[in-house]
Amino acid sequence: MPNIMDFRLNRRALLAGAAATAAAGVMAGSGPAGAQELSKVVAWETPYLGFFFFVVLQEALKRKAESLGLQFVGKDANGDSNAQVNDWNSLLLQKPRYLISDALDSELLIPLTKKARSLGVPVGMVDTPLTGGTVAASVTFDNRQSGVMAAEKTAELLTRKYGSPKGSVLNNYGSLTAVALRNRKEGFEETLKSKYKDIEVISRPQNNQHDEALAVVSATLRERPDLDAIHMPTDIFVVDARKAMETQKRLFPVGHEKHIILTSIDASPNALEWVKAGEIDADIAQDPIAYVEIVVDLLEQYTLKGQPVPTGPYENKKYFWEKGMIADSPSGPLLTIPPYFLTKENADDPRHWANVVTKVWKMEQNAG
Amino acid sequence: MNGRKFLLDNVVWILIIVFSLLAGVLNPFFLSEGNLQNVLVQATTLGVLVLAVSFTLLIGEIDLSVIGNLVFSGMIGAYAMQEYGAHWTVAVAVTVLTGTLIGAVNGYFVSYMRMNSLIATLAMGLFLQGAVLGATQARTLVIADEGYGYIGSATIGTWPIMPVALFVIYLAAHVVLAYSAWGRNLYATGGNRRAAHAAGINVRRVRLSAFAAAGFLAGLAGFLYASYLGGVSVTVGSTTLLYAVAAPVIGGVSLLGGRGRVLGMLGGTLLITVIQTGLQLINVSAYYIQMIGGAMILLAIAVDAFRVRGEEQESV
Amino acid sequence: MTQSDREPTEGARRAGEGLFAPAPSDRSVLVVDNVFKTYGPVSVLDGVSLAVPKGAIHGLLGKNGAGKSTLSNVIAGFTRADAGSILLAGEDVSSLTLTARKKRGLHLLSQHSEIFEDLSIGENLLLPNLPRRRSLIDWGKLHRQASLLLESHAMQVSSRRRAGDLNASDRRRLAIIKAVAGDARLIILDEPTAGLAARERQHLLEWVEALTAGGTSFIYISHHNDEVRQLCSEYTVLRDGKVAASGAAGSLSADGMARLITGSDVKEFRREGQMAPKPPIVEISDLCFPGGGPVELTVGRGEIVGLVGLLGEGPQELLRTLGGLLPATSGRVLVDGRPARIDSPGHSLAAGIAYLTHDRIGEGHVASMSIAENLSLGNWPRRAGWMISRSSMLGRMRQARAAMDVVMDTPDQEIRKLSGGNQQKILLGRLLERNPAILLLDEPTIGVDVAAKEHIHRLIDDATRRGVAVLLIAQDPDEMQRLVDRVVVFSKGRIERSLSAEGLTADAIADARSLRKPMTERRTT
Repeated sequence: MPNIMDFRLNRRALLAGAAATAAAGVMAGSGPAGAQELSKVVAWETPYLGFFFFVVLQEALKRKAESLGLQFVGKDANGDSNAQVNDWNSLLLQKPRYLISDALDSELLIPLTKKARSLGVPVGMVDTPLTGGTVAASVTFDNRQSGVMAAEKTAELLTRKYGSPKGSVLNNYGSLTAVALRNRKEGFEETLKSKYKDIEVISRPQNNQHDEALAVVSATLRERPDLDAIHMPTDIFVVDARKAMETQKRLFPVGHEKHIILTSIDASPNALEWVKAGEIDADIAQDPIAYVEIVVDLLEQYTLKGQPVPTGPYENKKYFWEKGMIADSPSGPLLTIPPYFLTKENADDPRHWANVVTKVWKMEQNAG
Repeated sequence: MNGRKFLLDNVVWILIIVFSLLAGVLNPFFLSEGNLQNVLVQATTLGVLVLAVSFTLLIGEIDLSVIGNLVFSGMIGAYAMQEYGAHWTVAVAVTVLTGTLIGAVNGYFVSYMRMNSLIATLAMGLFLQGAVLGATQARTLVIADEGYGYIGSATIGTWPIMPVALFVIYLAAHVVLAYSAWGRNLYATGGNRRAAHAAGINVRRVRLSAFAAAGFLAGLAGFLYASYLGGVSVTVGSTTLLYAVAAPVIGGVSLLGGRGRVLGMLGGTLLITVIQTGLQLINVSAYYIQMIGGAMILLAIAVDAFRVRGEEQESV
Repeated sequence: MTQSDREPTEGARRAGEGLFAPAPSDRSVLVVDNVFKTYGPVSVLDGVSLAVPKGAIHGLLGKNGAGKSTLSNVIAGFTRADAGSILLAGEDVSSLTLTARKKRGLHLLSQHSEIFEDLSIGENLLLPNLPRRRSLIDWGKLHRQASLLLESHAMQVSSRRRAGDLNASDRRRLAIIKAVAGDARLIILDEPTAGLAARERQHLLEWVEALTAGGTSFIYISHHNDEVRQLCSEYTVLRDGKVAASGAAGSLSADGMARLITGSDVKEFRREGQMAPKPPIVEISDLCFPGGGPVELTVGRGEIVGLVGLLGEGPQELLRTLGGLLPATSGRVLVDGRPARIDSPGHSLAAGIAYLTHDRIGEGHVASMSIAENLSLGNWPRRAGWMISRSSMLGRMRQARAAMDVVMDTPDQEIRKLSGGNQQKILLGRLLERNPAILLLDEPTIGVDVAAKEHIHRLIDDATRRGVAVLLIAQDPDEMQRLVDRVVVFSKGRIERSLSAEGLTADAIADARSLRKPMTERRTT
């Protein structure tokens, strides 16, 4: 539990005046005088902290900053885009070394990138990039493509079952106010509807709520005793789908004749275990650790030295996917990391973020 | 005795100073000019919402649809420009008018159909936010118009002009609530509805108009948010409702109606904003910010409860 | 006379020995010894002592603000005294909590009877110790116990009925039975008869008297001096937080008691009868309303007409209908020959019909607003159409203050800090400011001390001299007899007959009212 250490530090900082001035000193270094001297503070603004994925994003940046001898400051918008704008304003005023953020709203932050530029603070975006403005470096994941891949996989497994792509699939989609989830839904459903007309897509929302996910999957299972497949847009809610199947005695391992095809996206530590145990058919991986590490590398390597981030192929053997592409986007250079399948065969590769989180960082996804 | 009463009445300002100094000790930057601007800008949008909620609290009711209202009327204003090419002044008028109409509908529900305001406006808020989600498909409506965005982005020297809107609106609210016949009718209706009715005040109309005024202010907030953020999306302000209700209470507005000064509402707004910006600037782990923020609001309300108790003792 | 009455008592207190306090015999259930209480700079109780023997009823008298409520709160444990002690059956309970004192049999029943309207009578009686069987409520046993209690105290209602459906008198009875059932040693009754009709009042008084046979003692607080004389064995008069007088109740005359309470001679106001016929100003024809009608009534300029009838028989309903608070179902009202709209208080006021409520707190003033604002409520002097002209508002306030002798600090003070009498003057002033053609007064002196009462009577009389007509309801036949020019008697919602002021006596009014059987009896059989 690294958090406890943090809290002690902060509590001491809050209560004791002496320690407080030490904390203040860190900030003072980033004051107006710091134009020549680079600040040691790395600022971070996350749209949520309530989900494990975002916890990993933040942890990755914390560790990366630490490894570079830098200070970390992080804020949480809790799903409110106005709060995110306010956080950006407050963080920028302190003139950090750079500001890294995952956008809750790809439009509303654009004017702030201009403000950041006038203050001389480089901005890096991860996960959800902006649709305009000046961002020094963005690293993202092709969410739409991950949905397409899940759809193709589902079609393939149904073909194996029936001889041709047909049957029914529940897409228990998440909150559409989150851009990533919206893109996954579109990729998944449009692929099935346009290419596989005999597959019936039952599209039902869970609003990023565990209880809603459980209720919707349960109800659909009762309503459709013949349901062939379930797709969850993120691993976070696979637990609820599994619980619903278990309650109705319809949870069977992959290969069993009554097995319901289950696909999801993220490749979180939980999913890694399910893949290994043959409890889930396919999980498509993104790489939160890579987003953060790469964006910091790009900012340190190029932006802080006054150079633009070069476009073109990007290669890094440190990550499982190894190759990506940096392209020009409306907001600046954008590295898109390709989605890939997490399989039984590749599950033990230490470069999966799930393995890094559990084996190297010793973090656990499930509390207790 | 009077000194004590003065202290208690102005406790919100004392807390603002205490919290500011505390934040200043933890990060000297908090007390800088740049951050003062930051605090005032953030207080503007919240402050208008606080006024909106306060107008309904004064008659002993509550409007929980203000967030839904601000997003919805902001969206209508944005559509007016994008789809119909309306001039920005027209768009502002449309935004505010939409808000007022929604408020009047709330008022009709509560005053004439005798629906419970807590539930009716909660449902109205859900409906409006859902309507925005449906109409925009969760996408952001970008507002590029310079005139529309002027208040939210322009500066004089280094000073943003947005806080001017805050003070103008609060000054107007003060004049209306403290000196106009309509304003005093609000207090009378909230303080004792039956007595106000018996004294010849058209209580139903006053109650409807309080909600219409709340809607007007929510529409105004919709304009200010859109101007400040440069666009409208359904996620705007989703965490603000609680603060918009807490701030008036911290500033001494009674949930039972009939009591509350505009200066107190302003104090409540600034205190909440100081807490929020303070937490944005202090190096506290994000995991604990919500907890600390909640505890500080609790503290402020506890101090207010102490004040109210003192007042009651006096009148025994 | 007054001086010599007071002197020995005060002297005795100073010496540390009150009239009763120093000799707490075995008979004394309650001894209050030299109690002090201040709020800020104001001394509310200034060395008060009294003793109540077992089975006695002790009258507690005084103007509003004399310290009666504070004293009862101190005795019951709602507030602590700054100094002094309270002995209950020899035990010092001064530092015990309210609940602890209740357990020892000390109860305070305030004017607003503390009952749970939505619970049954049985539950109200037995709370908080409802009989249980395996942690669930045993309803059968509950109602058996409750019925026994009700029967033994001569109350014939089913314990299963909703308590909120009881009338005012039975509610108070219920609260008293509850206290007695909990082995009450001493019960403080704060104005138990307020708002009750004469017949009900008498019933309640006799019923309370019967309870003393069981050994329960009472402290009886009332504005009705006659009740105290009838019911109590001893009395204590408080004035400005001090004991102004005390002694045996039987020996006092009504005038003497009034003098002790106010501390000066108050001359009862008596209006000079105006027999001569006056030109009509308000003509009511065929008026029907919820609970009454059709009513035909013509009131002349400057005439005061008393309305007599039991609660629910028509007088209150007629006034509320004319005032715009109840909807008229048919009929016509002419004011000065012009038809008047009476579908809301605003319209009634605009037509020159001004209603003064009997419920000052609930429907009269806005407690959180200033005195000046309450005077102009709903009738703001305006500037530029929408602004309130503060100078005109304060001008009105100055006039009203001078004309009505309102005792107050500043016009910006909240009205709830005024005494009942001064609040009532402000409400009356608000109506007079509108220059009404007719005043509808529903209990204009309810909960008002003797001096203020006479003053309000004078103000009403003054208004009639300017041509204002008055319809008056007053429970006290004496009060009505002194003011009215004519009385109309209501029965079943209609005017049954009319009595002229000539030779009209208070007894005649009381008789006229109780011609019909009282409501309580009809309801409970």
